[in-house]
Amino acid sequence: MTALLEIRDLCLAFRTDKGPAQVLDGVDLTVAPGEIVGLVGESGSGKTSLARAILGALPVPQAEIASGRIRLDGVDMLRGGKAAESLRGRVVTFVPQDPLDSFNPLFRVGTQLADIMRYRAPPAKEGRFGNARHARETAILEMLDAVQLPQSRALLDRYPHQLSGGQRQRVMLAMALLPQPRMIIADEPTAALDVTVQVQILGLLRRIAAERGVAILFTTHDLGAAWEICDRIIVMYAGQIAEILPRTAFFAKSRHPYTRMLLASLPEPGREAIGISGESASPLSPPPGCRFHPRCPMASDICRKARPLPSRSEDGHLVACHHPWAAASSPAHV
Amino acid sequence: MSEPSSPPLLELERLSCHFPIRGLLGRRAGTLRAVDDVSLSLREGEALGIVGESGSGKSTLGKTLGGIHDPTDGVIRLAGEPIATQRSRRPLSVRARLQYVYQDSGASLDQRWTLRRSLHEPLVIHTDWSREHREAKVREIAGAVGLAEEHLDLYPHELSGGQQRRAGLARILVLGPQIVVFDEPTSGLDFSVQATVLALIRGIRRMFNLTYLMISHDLNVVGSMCDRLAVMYLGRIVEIGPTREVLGRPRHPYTRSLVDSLPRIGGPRVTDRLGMPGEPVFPADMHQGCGYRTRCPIGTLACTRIDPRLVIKEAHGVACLEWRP
Ligand SMILES: Nc1ncnc2c1ncn2[C@@H]1O[C@H](COP(=O)(O)OP(=O)(O)OP(=O)(O)O)[C@@H](O)[C@H]1O
Ligand SMILES: Nc1ncnc2c1ncn2[C@@H]1O[C@H](COP(=O)(O)OP(=O)(O)OP(=O)(O)O)[C@@H](O)[C@H]1O
Ligand code: SF4
Ligand SMILES: [Mg+2]
Ligand SMILES: [Mg+2]
Repeated sequence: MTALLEIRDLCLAFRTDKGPAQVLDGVDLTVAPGEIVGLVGESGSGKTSLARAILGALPVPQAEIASGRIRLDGVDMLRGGKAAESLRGRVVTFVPQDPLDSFNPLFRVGTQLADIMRYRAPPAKEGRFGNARHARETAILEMLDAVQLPQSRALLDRYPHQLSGGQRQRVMLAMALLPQPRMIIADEPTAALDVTVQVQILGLLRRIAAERGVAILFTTHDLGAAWEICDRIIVMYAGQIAEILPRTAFFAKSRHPYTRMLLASLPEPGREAIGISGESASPLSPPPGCRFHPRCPMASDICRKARPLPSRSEDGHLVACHHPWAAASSPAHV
Repeated sequence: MSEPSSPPLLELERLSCHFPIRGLLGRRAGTLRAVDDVSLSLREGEALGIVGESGSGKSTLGKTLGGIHDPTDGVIRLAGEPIATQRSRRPLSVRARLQYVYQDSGASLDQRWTLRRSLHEPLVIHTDWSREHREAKVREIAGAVGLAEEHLDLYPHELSGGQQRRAGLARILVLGPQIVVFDEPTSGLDFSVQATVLALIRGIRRMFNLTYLMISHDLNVVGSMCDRLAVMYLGRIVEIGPTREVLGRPRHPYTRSLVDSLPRIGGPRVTDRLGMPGEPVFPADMHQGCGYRTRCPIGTLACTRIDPRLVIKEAHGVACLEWRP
């Protein structure tokens, strides 16, 4: 299948007072229509920055894309001008990580939803009386139902700060779904939801991927959620891709030392989770060679000198490491 | 832990926090019972977890405790003494002792200030420490929550989501509070940082005999961090008891569905056998009966008429008409 999203060799830096922060380094990835791809990796590894790069939502004077390209549906998203602009918010939409920051605090939730319907969504089917406004409102209420916010008319009259964290998150999701996009980039879309609602939302995402062929790039720290819906998982460390692998392989047959340590820090009943020791790499002065080497128990001389090239096996499993685990060894041996 | 005879450190008695629902032209069209008649108490050093449906009033409860919302009704007692419910009327000493850590903790940081300034600020207000003394504390706590020293010179928008979260936490911890309400302290953090933050909270708990309420959607987190667990649904506590009991032998059908919806890595996917029956009701539409009845698999006609009360047996309480010991 041809990819809907294709990213090649993306390098991104932010200018700061202390010099450039190299936040993404040579990122390569593709997402096919109908595919749900999980993006995992520790805090600060560049997941949100990657999402923002695709959406053209990077802070303007600070962000600098040194190289690479992003193509969505054949359009160059970095240099595509008007063509790229017309895709954003329509063909590709975004569920942001921090919903409170992403609403306009001065407008009621209903107004913000109505604006999306008006300017971004395909025209709603006109109601019996040919009333477009009425049709839009119906579409909004149906969408709020679908994201598990029933009887939401009263919610529309409220301001963003008057909603609970999970309600804001679901309204954001509705805003991303209303334009009927072909791709959704969801940054931690279920972090503020209780598990009974989370399951419903994850189920909804799986359905729209399967039934409407919508591609989803899903950033999460919740590996349970990743297990529920992802087809493939991309593991990032300090702005570099460490490993890309199918969902079941991620949990059972990962090969990169970082992935294995990440899984070992999963909280489990009856076990105090172990964090990964050592500090995460600073983007201001990233370690040379493999960026993970200062924290890696397997690191040797070559890891400190040369960046490991990704190697790919037939089953679509890609790993960038000089000393990967054999696929057959069980992840219990970290 | 204190003597059984001494009063609990924190006591809520019939606490309610209602919001007006405005209709056309701002007229009051109804009441949203975000927190409705909640009573509970905590002993010194105890940790209580609060879980529940999104929108069930967990944050509102936490903010009411922190004096951010004014309760509609009820009393809050600290070591037996009723305290002013409004933060601005609380003495500084009470404010520093009882702290609420925001769910969107990025929002609690001033966007125009560097982290260093944000972390110094509470100490400027609450202490008369010298600049050096403050700086030492700020560094200690920043280090403890896993922020590097170079982060202190950054503005909130220059930090990742997880880094902002840690900064929000640090801002509260510099004051050395006695009771803290942590609102979703780990959501959006990776496990490695989660483990660090939780270890940090465990550490302060031991060191300072900290008492806390921890609001979280993550049953694993509250499971490992709290002695007791309260489950909220539509503004009420529907179940409360020792964590192990509540998660291991849930008595309320909502708690049961929570435990059943938990994804199990390696097991069958919960999204394959979807479906919580029925729909949650809007808190304003509830006039009588059990709030969970519209989704409850075991409800009867009586559940639409009678308000279930919290029945406590062997330190484990449940509010469900169908529960039998
Ligand atoms: N505007 C900016 N200026 C300078 N540095 C920035 C800026 N935005 C982000 N960064 C840095 O870029 C790195 C990646 O941040 P990003 O938000 O992409 O991480 P993330 O993987 O989404 O983390 P989290 O899981 O915590 O949300 C971080 O080290 C952060 O400090
Ligand atoms: N300032 C406010 N004005 C009006 N209604 C409010 C206000 N704050 C919260 N609410 C409403 O009160 C109810 C409880 O909200 P609260 O934020 O306490 O929920 P929560 O249990 O913390 O949910 P979540 O898990 O999604 O964070 C919700 O229906 C919410 O919309
Ligand atoms: S390349 Fe070396 S340092 Fe990097 S993960 Fe592999 S073994 Fe560890
Ligand atoms: Mg992020
Ligand atoms: Mg909340």
